[in-house]
Amino acid sequence: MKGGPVSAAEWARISQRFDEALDLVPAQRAAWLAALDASDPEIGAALRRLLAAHEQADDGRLAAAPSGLVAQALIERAGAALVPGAMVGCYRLIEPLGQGGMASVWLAEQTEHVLRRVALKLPHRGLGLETDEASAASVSRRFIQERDLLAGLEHPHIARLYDAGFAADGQPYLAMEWVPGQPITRYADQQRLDLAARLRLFLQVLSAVGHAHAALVIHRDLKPSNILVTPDGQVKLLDFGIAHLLGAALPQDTHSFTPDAAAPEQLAGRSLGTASDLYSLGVVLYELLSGRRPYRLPAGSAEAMAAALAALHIRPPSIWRRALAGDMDALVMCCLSQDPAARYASVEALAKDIERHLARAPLAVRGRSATYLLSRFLSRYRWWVAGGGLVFASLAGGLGLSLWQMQRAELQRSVAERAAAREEALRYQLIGLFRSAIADPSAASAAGPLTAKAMLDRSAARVIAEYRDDPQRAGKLTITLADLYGALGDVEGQLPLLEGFLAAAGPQADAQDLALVRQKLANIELLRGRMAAAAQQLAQAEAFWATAPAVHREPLLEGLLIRGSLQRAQGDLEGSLATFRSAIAQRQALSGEWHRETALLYNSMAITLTAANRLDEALAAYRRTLAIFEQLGRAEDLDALVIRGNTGTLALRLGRLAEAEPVLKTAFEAQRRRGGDSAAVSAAMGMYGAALTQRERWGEALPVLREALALADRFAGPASPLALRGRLFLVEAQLGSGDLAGATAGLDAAQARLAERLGTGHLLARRLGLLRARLAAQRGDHAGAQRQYEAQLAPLEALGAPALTALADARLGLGEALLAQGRAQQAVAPLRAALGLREQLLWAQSWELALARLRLGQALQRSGGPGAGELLSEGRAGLLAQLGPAHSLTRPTP
Amino acid sequence: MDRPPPPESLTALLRAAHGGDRAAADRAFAELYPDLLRIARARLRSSHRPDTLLDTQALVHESFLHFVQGARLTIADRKHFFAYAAKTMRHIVIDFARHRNAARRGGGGQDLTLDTQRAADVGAGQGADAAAVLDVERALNELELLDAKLAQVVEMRYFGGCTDAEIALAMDITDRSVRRYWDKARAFMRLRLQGDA
Repeated sequence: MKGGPVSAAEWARISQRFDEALDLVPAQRAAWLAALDASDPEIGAALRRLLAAHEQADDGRLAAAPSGLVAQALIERAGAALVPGAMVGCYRLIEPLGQGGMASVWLAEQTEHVLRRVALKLPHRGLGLETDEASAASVSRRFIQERDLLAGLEHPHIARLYDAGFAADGQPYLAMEWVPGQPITRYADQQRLDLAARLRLFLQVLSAVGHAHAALVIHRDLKPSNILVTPDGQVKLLDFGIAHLLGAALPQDTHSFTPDAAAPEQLAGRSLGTASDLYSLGVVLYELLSGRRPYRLPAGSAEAMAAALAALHIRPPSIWRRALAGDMDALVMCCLSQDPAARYASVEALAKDIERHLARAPLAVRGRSATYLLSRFLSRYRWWVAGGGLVFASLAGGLGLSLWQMQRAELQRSVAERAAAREEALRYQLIGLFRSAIADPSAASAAGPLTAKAMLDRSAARVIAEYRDDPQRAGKLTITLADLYGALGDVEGQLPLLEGFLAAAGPQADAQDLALVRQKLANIELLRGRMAAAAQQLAQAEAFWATAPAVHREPLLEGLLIRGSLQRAQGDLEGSLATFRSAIAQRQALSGEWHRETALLYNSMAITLTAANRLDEALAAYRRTLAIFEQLGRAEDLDALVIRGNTGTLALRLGRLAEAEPVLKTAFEAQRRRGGDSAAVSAAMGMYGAALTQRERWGEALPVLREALALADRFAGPASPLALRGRLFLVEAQLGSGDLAGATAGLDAAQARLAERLGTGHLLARRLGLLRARLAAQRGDHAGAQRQYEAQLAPLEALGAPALTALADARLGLGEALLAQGRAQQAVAPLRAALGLREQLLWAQSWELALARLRLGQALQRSGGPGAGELLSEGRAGLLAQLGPAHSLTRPTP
Repeated sequence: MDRPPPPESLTALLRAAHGGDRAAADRAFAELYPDLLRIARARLRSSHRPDTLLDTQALVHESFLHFVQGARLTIADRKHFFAYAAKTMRHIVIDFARHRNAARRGGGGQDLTLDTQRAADVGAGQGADAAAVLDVERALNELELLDAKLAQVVEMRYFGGCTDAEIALAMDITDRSVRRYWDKARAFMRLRLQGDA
């Protein structure tokens, strides 16, 4: 055994005695061994050692199968086919530069387009990157999005990603700038750089990382071997975002990073922000300055390593080099905070402190008290994880819905795919910001759970406070945060943020950011109903876009959308239409017809056309919008469904009853399926109920209208226009079905609600008045009805174009009331006016138009006027065609 | 199966190998090896938790089921299958570890710029780096010379991830004997490993 080989014969005896010894109780063993020493002295010592070894605690080496090595063996075997001279895509392999668990790197020669040497990274196959999988399409799409994002990253200290893709055989590859250099730590040692020179070298690193962060790219795997220095002393960062690019090609949730340089949140598998890169930079700086790694984690699962890191006390770098005590200790340890919020807020802030140190100025980080840094450990961080997760989930959802707003906010970025890829990076940066906001001690006492809005508010305050010295970055973050407020549907929240930015913006602020912020403010003021303020901000933004219209085409078009909406709100419907037409033409020239933005412009134009009561044109514009959504494969998007509901509503208003009914039905049902109940569901549902009412299908109409009303009460509030409209629809159905008591109660309730908010000047107040008149008529009080109809005429006329439909209804009602009193002669004028309006407003075959013809025909017939016969027959035919023979209007008149 | 049918049944190969036929053992190995690779890769691909994605025991079990479903083996072949699967795993790992160890001693090229540690994550939990596995292999070689049965228990348990019951079945002994063999073999291996240290 130990100390020399055992013969097979000896082993047989030892083995047998070992069994005997184990069968004894421990108390008997000593005597038994003593006896054995006498009978078989040769094996006594060996047996004792063997028994002692048996009693030892397991050291783990034999405890489990070496599964990890099996995995590595299989993975490496997969990459074994690569040899010098082999072609991968258009690259010829020259020699291997390195080999690792996930990829091998080759020096290679590009053979097409440009002849140059590249570092070709070849992720091992068998890692899920094969393209013969069903998911290959989505995997390679994500891969390509990431690639495009990273290929755009240009900075003198960042090695370029030239190309990435899949070779014909499915081998993924990444072609990168080949950098002859050595890791920053080795370079600094070989050059015997002093502390100041090392820090200056590190500042180059920070400028590169800062540039990438501004472009919303996170490195995710910063470590000395990814930070090379060329012989002429230039830093080159390798693999920017490559970990993520590979992540894009790997199954979700796979993490790829170097544990000893990874931030705690990275090990824990949580979302990363720029703060995670700051942690890794801290690890690099620690080693660069002290010559030692801050720690080495014991091998283990990511969870185990995260736990080990959390338990670790990192010693300050000055224990290795006294010269680092003070500034450098504070600076490095700030980066190495477990709590992301306790680290530097940005790479720039870290760089500024290093510059201050080099200039012998006091550091910002040392202004923080020690307790401040220490008190931010896990407790608060955990609290955030528990309390904030839900908020983020909803925020992420909001971001998804507002993707097009995001795209608009990003300049020069018309390619939707790129914006989508960027969205994630953006979210990471914002999450970092939110974390900081949450950890803000001044806010920690706030009662109640943290809402997304509260988070945004604090983040906004932080942006205003922390980026005062950095107007460039402040502008970008302000714009993004404003979009997030928009995603939450929070108009008011954006105001202090945007106004604060404008107030603080000095001459250094980016003029383009200023213009964008003004434009956003204009939109908010518009939504708040402050038209003059909106016009003023918008004019300034437009003036800036006009300085270089070709460069600013995207924001310029966004401005036109706001301009058109503003004109509509100010009552300049013609101006609004002209603006939208011009915007549509420009958008088509820029992006083509089949573009989401084009669809949005058509939608806005449809709203103006509806306001102008040009319903046919509005319907055509809505249909155009829908056609684009369909062409883009987004016909089932919630927005498309809402617009589909709008087309149904319009169709109904036009009198296209047969067409409107199924469209409205599918619109609200599909919306319900997709997004659950909402105000929009209620709107389409109410219109569907109204269509049923027109068909006199009371049994179906009443429950639908009751439900629509309940939804409107719930989602829009009982005093909202939607709920009031829903109430009036229900009253109409009650009137039609003869439930006069129910109708009266409904009208009273509506009247009370109306007074609460909208007031008696609102169009809905007129609608309510018309229904009261109709109630009187149904009760047989035709004189009362007449007076009430007459009372509505002047206010309706004063409301102009939007009230024309109601005005036609009022005149028709008035005519009917006069007819019922036998005053046919007097009925002719209002009925003729009603018919004129309906001819102007409605679809030529609509039943309401036919009804107007019939009533005018009756008035003329009874008063002996000309043309009665033709009107009567046209009217009857129209009603029969649209409403069918079972309808009360088509049954023989009494 | 698009592979051409094998000249002889896997069942027969395993039995012959069990009976000591070296050539049959080699052919059985050649059958098992690609299948284990295939399953391991599929698991690596589909796993969402890298640290648990490759458990040797599951790998061997899945491979067995695969052969059974392909009608290449029957449930009765379990007995021989696990023993040979363990041998196969041992071969794969040792082959790789030798290669890895040699590369380390020879010194690598330039620092890898991206040694994202997916595979290392996998292995890290088991604390089994190449050198340690080679130490185990050396101790096991010594044990094989002295006591083939004990060595087989180690092989099946350590390299094949087999349970005591599977080992008992393959070796025609009781579970209790398996545990005793393992106790003894482990004590031997511990002494050897400490001696090497």
